[in-house]
Amino acid sequence: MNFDLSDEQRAIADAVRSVLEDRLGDAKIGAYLERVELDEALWSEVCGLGVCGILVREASGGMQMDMVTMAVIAEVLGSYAAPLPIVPNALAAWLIDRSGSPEQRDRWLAKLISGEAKAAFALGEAEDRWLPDTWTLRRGESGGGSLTGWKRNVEWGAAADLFIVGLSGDQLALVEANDTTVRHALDSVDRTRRLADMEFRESAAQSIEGGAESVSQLVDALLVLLAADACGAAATAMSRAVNYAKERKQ
Amino acid sequence: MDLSYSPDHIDFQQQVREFLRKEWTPAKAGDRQYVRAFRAQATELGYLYRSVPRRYGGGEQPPDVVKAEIIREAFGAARAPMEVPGNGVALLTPTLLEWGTEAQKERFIPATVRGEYLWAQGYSEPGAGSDLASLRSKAELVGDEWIINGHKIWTTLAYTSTHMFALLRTEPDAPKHAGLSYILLDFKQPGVKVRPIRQINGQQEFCEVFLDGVRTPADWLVGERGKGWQVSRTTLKFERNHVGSSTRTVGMVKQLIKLAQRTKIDGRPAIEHEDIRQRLAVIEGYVEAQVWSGYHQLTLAGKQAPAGVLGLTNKLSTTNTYHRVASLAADIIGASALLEPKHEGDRGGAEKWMNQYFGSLGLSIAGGTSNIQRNILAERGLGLPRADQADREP
Repeated sequence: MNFDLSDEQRAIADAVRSVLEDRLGDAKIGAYLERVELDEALWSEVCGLGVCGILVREASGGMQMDMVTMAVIAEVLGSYAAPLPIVPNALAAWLIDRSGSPEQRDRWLAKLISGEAKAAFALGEAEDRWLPDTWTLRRGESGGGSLTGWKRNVEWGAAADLFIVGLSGDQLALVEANDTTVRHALDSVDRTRRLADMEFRESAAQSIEGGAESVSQLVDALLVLLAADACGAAATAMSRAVNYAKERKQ
Repeated sequence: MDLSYSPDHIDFQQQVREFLRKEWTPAKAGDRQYVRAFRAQATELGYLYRSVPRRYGGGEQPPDVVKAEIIREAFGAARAPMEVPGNGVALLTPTLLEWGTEAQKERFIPATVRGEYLWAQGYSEPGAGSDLASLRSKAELVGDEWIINGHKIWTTLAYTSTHMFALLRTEPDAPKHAGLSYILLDFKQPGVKVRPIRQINGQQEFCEVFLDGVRTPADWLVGERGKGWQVSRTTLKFERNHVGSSTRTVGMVKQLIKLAQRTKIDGRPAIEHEDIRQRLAVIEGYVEAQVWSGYHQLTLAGKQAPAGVLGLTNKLSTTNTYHRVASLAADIIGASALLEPKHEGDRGGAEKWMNQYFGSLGLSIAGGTSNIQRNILAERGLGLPRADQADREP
């Protein structure tokens, strides 16, 4: 049995940790609490480590590593409360590499990996409809099957260049940000994870090969990586509390 | 056992209700003049400020816990204002009544009771919260004035306060507990700087207060020099009684049940879900226990008997129940819990529950932390050795 990380996984985690320690350590994260826009410089720097291409095949320009490696990275990001949509980008790249058309791969993969383009997952709907079998948004009859309707609580929706949108019947669509995609920024409790409600007004929507299994794998991956992020945050909180208890006298 | 009121108390209840029917119009609650006149009248009749003598602007009545409860219920039902809220009335006034000089009582209590003096509580400091004995802000007597230097934090509503009652180190050579004094100061004095602290719920209820060479008259010291610890403990006792009442908890549970009835999870009302029902039932159980414990404490107080360990449980059990209520509410409102409480609009304003949620976390710290409450329960209630002594046992 070997229930442990590989040297390679540790090395990647250390590389990410070292950049984040530099930029967000020592409570520097405080500066981000009032900041609504994404910090493009920090974004480029972390993307420069190649983390958005972890799950993408080598042939497509990625590092072809597994979901465990991505989870290790998500945990490090969470441990610094990194205000960056790395996980959405990495998963969008993974999805497009795996299920996108050749045109979609050509258009988006390199940009998603480098960070030049930002992706957001627009899945949730009103009344707490988070999971695929509760999605109600569907393509319109007219307008070549465009999308009209709302998606809620989209992580970093206000910064995104493209949206992966969940549709009823286990379908996924790729929507490019333009003047038909209206962003309504929200004041999220977690100020390092900015949210927006997305309103689509006859937005052009390309299909991504869907199907129940593929969609449920994607949602599972999002949930697992969110859990890893939360785990990292909790571990930091724990170790700070322990350190404070050691130093505090009463 | 008999939970009904005596004929005298039933008469009294009628009088209070009659007074409220005649004299209180909820629609005028925003009219300051009207509210001030109403409070003055209610005080005159002995419904408000019952423990404050008339010569200091109070209602001066013999202690009667049942009457006090009747007044609370009737005023609550009529949505009529009771005593001026805040530290001045709840904490400083009883402390001055117990420890103050005649001149201090005359100068400070009437203005506090009328709501003209608004008091900040200057206890906590960076590095010294529950552990007040470690306070470092100091006051030095020079001539007939104290000169105060230091830094207070988590000072509730300091930016709207006119005055502060503070614990300050006046005897630097004395042991920790014996070195503190309880001193009053005026926020208009030069050297007072108040900085609001932005909280996780977006509000700014707490402040930091910087005291830089602030002067206050020598005779604004309450109790003796070096006795600040004892004086402040009177205040803390009042504060704990203050948060121990179950009236608000009962109201919150009613709101929670309404929330569970009107909010849908997976297309069905939340209250129809098994796990939600279970958690509601558990909360209901704790609240019932608190309500009956309250009746029993009321009975004991009526007989002038000590409430013992039961009286020490109030703050902790209120805090725990608040938290259970608010975290169930946060689960019921679902995605709305992602948003800052102030966010209203098309989400139906369910985020106000997030204020309750964050507030419930704060309550486990405010007015004596839950762990300090557990220490007190263990030591005074259960007769266990003091924590620091227990550490020294082999």
